[in-house]
Amino acid sequence: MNKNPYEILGVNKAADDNEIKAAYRKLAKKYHPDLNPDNKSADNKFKEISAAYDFLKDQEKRGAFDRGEIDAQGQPQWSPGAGGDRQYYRDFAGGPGGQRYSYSGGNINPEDLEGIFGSMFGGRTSEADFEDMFRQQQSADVHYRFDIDFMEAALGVKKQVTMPDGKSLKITIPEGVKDGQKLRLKSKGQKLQDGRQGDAYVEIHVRPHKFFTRKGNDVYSEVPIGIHEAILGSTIEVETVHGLIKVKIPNGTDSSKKFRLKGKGIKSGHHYVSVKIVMPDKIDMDLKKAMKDWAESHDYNPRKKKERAS
Amino acid sequence: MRRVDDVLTQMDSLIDQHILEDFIARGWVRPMRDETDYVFDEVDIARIRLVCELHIEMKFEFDAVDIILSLMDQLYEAKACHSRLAQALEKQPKDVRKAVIESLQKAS
Repeated sequence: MNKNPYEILGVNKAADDNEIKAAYRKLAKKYHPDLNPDNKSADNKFKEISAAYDFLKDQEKRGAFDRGEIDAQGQPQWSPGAGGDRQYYRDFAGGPGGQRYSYSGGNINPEDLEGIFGSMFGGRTSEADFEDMFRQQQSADVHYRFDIDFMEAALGVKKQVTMPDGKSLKITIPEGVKDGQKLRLKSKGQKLQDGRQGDAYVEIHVRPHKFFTRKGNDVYSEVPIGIHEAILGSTIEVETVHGLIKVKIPNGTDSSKKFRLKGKGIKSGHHYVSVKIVMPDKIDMDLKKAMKDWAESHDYNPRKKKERAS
Repeated sequence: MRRVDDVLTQMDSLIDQHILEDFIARGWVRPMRDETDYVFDEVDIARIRLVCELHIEMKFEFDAVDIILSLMDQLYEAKACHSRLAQALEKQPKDVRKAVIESLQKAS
């Protein structure tokens, strides 16, 4: 049977708000998941404590519970696991985002690992080695993450940004920068007490574009064309990262036909545009009649062509 | 990515903009910033929630929060380092791994 919120916090029913708060603080300090990174059960315990505290600090709910208007489980008002799943800092600390909060910015070089190896193999690492290892881990480099638009990544852009430490940095993002690419800003890191001046590393994240996708320096998009343009041919305007480009659609163009627009991608890349034949919103009598007349006077079946090819 | 207002709403008004800026000034939270304002990602949100719990709910003083966060960051970094080491060991031939395990057992 589930414990009631008083039992979870270890207080009696007569406890006042201050006693409840004090009991919660004491348990929260002990069981907070971020202060217990390797203790999986701390998560459930903390959730239980938080739910009990949230319940008891609500005078209305507490009163209803005390009067027996809701049962010990408090369904649906009280449940020790209430509050749903939440993510703690420890869930991100080991990931790429956590690097911003790490001492060395997530830099672990082979020398560091050798130092740790030494410490693991009992006594073969001298105090001086430890000091050296510590010095190496105290990197002066700093790591940031920066989000930019697809077009900014494609064509390059200059940005002035204020970093968390208040420093203002001018960043020249080069044309064609890729998602996840790191830019090194020499001597823009922190200065350590031993005089070492670190570099700043900015990891670029490129936001997706509404129409364009990218493979290397080539850009891909899709453009709708009408059935009349597919049959009769046409010249249409296609949006590229360099602006609108006129493209000649030959008569008899199939759906999914891909056209290469040379040099219209990123840097020396190309733009590939696929056409998609789109029906009119309404098929009117004129169109129906024209198609019916044509179908009756022609022996055309695209599936026959496919069968012959197979 | 979230802006200051989104973060304050997400924290159920536990903190206001002034307190959030104080967390940032103390280096407890280190969001990125674009041309207009701070931008927060998931790790920042989790960090702010943690700082709120430590400082506001558990009533740890400023110095204590400094020490806790500093130790915690070092701990997570050490864990990441050991995880990398374990991954490197996993890629070694079986006899190398065996020798390492034996050495560890002798050392303990």
